[in-house]
Amino acid sequence: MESTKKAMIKSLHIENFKSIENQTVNFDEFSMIIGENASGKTNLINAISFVRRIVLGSNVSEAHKMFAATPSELLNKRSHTNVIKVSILLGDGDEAEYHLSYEFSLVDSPSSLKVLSISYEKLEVKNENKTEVVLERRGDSIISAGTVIPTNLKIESGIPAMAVVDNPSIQKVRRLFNRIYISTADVSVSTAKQPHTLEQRVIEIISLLKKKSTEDFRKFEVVVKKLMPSLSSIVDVSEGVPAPLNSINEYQFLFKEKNMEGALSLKAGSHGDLRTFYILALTFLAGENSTIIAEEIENGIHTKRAKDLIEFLEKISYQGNKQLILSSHNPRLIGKVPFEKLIIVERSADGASTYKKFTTSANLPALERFLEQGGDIAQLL
Amino acid sequence: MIIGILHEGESDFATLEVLSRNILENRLGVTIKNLSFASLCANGPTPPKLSAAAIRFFETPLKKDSKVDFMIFHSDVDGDSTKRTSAITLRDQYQRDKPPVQIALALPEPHMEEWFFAEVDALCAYFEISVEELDRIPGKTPKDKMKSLINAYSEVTLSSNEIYAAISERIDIDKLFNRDQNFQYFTNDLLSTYNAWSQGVGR
Repeated sequence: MESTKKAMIKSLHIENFKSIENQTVNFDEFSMIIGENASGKTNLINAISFVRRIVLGSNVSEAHKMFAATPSELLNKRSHTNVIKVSILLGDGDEAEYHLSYEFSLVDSPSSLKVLSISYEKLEVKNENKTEVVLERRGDSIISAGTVIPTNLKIESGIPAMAVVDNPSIQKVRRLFNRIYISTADVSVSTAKQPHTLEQRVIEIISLLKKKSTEDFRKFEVVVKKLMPSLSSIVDVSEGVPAPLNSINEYQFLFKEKNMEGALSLKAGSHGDLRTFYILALTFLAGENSTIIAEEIENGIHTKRAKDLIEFLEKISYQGNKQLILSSHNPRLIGKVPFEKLIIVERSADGASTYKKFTTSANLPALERFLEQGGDIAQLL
Repeated sequence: MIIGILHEGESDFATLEVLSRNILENRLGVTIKNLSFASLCANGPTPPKLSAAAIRFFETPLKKDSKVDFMIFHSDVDGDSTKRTSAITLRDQYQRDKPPVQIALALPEPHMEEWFFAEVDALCAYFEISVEELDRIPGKTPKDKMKSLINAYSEVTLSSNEIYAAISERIDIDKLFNRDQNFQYFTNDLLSTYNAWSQGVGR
């Protein structure tokens, strides 16, 4: 039984971004990022999210607002330069790999506030032993873009060259980034206006799931009932009723509980229940070769349910050929996670975030003995 | 009758619940009416927690309305024989201190999943795979292999607890008894504990 799937986000290299000075992180089909509060888990995910937003069409000044009030907040305070570097290696589920690199410079502006500009951008495609530069940009000049456009094209400093150059490899990269789902406020799974509340997002995502596949919706309902034993059924009150365009009916799905008369709206659900619905529906909804990133999976969720949820998410992702990246600050959640899937995040005395895998530890043989003898990896964290 | 099970993880409970019922009914040749099980999860290695947990089990009702009648104490041996001796010592000491209390020991080596791989017919039948396919499943330990099997071959809506219980239902108790010495110990210990309880020693 050889796994044929390949991780979509294979690795990430970051320099001078928030608490991260210079780190490379490798991901598997399933990775669990674990660390204390403020260790750098969110910053790692933000770096992915930042690049994702840029690739999908935001300019830099729009993209940074999701993670910082001013661009200066993105630059690591101990950095001796004004340059942030983020590069990401993506697999396409087949043989090709796409290596996208960005350098963002913090520069003065007439308004006296610093602004962020793209000072370097490069996309390479690796296929078998061949590497091809698809796009290279330095400052406002595109210096290489295959044969598609004139290489003397000038572009604005906040606009990615990816947005103005078009070729099959760039389209492919856009599609790959479009399949990265990040379960935070930065979730964009619809073409409708971004919903605001968690209830609305839950309704929207369950609705999308039901439209995509009634079979997956049925499985979702079965799993939800196992995670929430008091739930007896999910009722779609909109069945047969045409939905108005670009709007979300907050009462589309009602929930029946075993000891309650009638049906309840999501307004009655706890934050933990809503997150359970959301993350589970998102994982079912995401297509093959997608990446699902769920931050602090246990928030509002009892440890037992969180453990069960992780187990289901892992299986849904495995069987659906999807990559799953979770983060947590609860060591008790990792009992069933193979140690080689863990990414341990720590903050050094000088404030720099580091990301380590046990598999690269010099103490790996001792660790394996410890685990074989029933040791609990949570004791090491 | 309520049997309390102190275990290391929820799937261990699911397994022991089914195996214990089947052992008792198979060997006693009767259906035990009103048999239920109470769970206490240690969320990790159990031996040092035996005394405190046993007191909770016997003297404080847990999720059940009544106290448990006797107890199964589960500890994975994990290749470390001191875990087995430690569990036996703790049990003997506890029963000396509290003579009415009966405790049966379930000490699989290295862990519970080994019993599934010892009764390989049940495992293959459940996942609908051949022994040859089973041999190719990746994983260093039976626990790792079960994880791989579940991820690859089980219906996505089934939890591992449900899967462990379903495999346990398929296990031929007699076959497993003949193939795994630690299961033999558990079977004999469970039967003698039950007999002691039913003869009034455990009351």
